[in-house]
Amino acid sequence: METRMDEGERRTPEIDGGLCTGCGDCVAACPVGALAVRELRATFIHPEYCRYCGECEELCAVGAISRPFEVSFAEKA
Amino acid sequence: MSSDGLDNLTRLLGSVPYFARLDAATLEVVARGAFRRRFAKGQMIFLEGETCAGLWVVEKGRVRLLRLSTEGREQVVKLLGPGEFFNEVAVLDGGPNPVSAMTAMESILWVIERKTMLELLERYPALAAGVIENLASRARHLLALVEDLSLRTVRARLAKLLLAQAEGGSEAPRRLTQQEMAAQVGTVREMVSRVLRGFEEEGLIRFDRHRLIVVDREGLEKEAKV
Repeated sequence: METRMDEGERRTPEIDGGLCTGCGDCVAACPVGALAVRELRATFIHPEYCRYCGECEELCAVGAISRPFEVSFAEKA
Repeated sequence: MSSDGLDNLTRLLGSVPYFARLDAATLEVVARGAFRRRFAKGQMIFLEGETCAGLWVVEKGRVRLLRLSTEGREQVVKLLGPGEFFNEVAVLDGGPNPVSAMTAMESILWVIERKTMLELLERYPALAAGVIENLASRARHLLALVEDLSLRTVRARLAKLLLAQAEGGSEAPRRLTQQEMAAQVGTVREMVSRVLRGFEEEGLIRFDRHRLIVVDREGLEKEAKV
């Protein structure tokens, strides 16, 4: 359980390198500067900054960025 | 096939509902007629309309069965995991594949050729009974899907999907992107994004990074029934 949570905290949106055109729109959209274009592909240069807000996903014109979600019920207090 | 490989496949087939009624010797006969294939993530296994290769069984990974609209939009008919099988309809009626199949992650699959399956069905009535039972259950699933698509709004379908995901969640949470949610409820990602934002503003769900948490289960259940 702990392991999964730890892994989760480092999670960033997924970038499909096959679709990414390296246009840089996501870099401009990212409010925390977590992304950059390297070798003509978007990449997370500062994954620790990422807030998983989805601005990059919204902006990407070719659908190369996606955020997988784990769906669960809130734990009862 | 090595004897280890044969044993593994026999065990795997034994866990498949179709084959659950067969004894060990018969399972081995089925296993001997199967071929193991490895697929990368996102690889097309077969296309809708192509000639059917046979019955597919998932050993490892996940497979999406989908239909593509003329505009290229995906409608995911079903997501399958280990121990599940697909393309039985085309095996049984000899027609083309009714859907396309694509891996959602790296997967190992087995295919049992149509000819082999038909021979086995003829020889083993217990296998035929399993097939009939399963087809009936699939027919129920499709009826529910028809009802969903014709009677429910996108909001309701998405609410229903979130509830089903949360129900299944704790042991091995299945992660879904907005694109995958859109494909499952028959809409586009932008619409899913809008509806999720609405749910969040109404206090039905909240986001905690990669977690989508259903805060108001009753409220979401009401939405799902609209």
